[in-house]
Amino acid sequence: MQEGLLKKLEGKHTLESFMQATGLKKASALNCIAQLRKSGHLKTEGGGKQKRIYTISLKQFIEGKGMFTIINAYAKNPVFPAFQHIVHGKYDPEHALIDAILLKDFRILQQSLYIFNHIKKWTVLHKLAKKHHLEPVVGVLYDFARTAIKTKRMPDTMRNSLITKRPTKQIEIISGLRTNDIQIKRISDNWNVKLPFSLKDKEEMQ
Amino acid sequence: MISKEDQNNLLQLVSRYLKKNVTCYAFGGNAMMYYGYKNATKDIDIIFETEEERNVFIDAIMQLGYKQMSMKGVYIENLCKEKHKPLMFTRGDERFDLFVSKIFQTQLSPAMKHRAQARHDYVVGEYSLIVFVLCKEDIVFLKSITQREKDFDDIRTIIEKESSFDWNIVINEAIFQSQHGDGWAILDLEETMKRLKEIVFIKKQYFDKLYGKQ
Repeated sequence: MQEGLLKKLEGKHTLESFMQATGLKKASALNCIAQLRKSGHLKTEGGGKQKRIYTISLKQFIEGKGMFTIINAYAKNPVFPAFQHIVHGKYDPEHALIDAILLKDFRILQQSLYIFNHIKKWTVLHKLAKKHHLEPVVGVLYDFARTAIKTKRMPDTMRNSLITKRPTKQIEIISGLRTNDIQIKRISDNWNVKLPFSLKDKEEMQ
Repeated sequence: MISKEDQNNLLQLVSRYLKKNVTCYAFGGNAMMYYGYKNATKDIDIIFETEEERNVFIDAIMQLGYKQMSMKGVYIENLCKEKHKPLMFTRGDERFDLFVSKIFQTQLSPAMKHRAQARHDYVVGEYSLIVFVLCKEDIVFLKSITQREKDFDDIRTIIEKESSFDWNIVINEAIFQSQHGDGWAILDLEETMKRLKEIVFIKKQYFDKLYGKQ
């Protein structure tokens, strides 16, 4: 596709505005759109009952599965990715949850808790938690998530194993943030891990 | 030449042969491919934070049949004598330029690491290869100090395709580098900006900022 045409078309278009900008008939315009999509310069939003909106860019759109795509697939309030994260290889919700914990960003952590309702391989989550020394953190987040949202049930064997890793010295998930709610504090004390969520945060999630 | 897909497949394969987790930063033409600025590149430029990580990576590519090659003919003679020159490995058309902590005189600054705008994880085998991609401003800065013609073309491509480009980041980084041992950073950047000014509009204030620090 010629760069000049891309420059001219850069931005958002409907089929009609695309036809007007290019001077093409409907069939040719659709053909051109398909070509642009194939070359990675066009992204489609909408469809079905909604009118399709095409975004055209001089740069190619990069697509792939990553932490943000998984979190946003389940989150109540999708987060805006702070950076582009793409994984080449196996990447499941279990991996996304662990990556979200490691990122130490409050909003991302909060929205990642919805993943607990979509965990299929608890053993994978357990292994990853072990690998990153996050056993008590996963445990405390799970207990908190269960008070706020619907989650799948963690196998008792895994929970029992996680609680054995309760640290002797209290740890923080995100430094400087602590809870103001008694019930949340009780969960924190159980695991000896400071939860960064307030009562308002919990209500926001429900 | 190596395409975007080839690069992803190759790094996926490399990750299979790693004996440890490796984190690195992409900053050359390969970084531009990650952002969709171009479709193919000659070499894969990567910088590691530690010698150990580079060695793990080298072990993996050597198992794939990559052989070390000389820098001569690729970089100018002066650069071949630099302490922080890359180790170069090739197999067929593909080439890896592997740096540790510094790209010749320019260091991988904490701000550069913080500004990395993309992260690609290659997780196929037991260990993962995590590639952070430096932001567009840092790519332009690093390309502006290499003084190769194809690098200038790459800078032009980024500037022309990017509607939001922050020259302040580039200039601040040049100032930081000049204060930390890279005496040529500001001069090289100025030369590139002067050439670019003929093609795209660059505000006078950016030149003033640069001259103020010269």
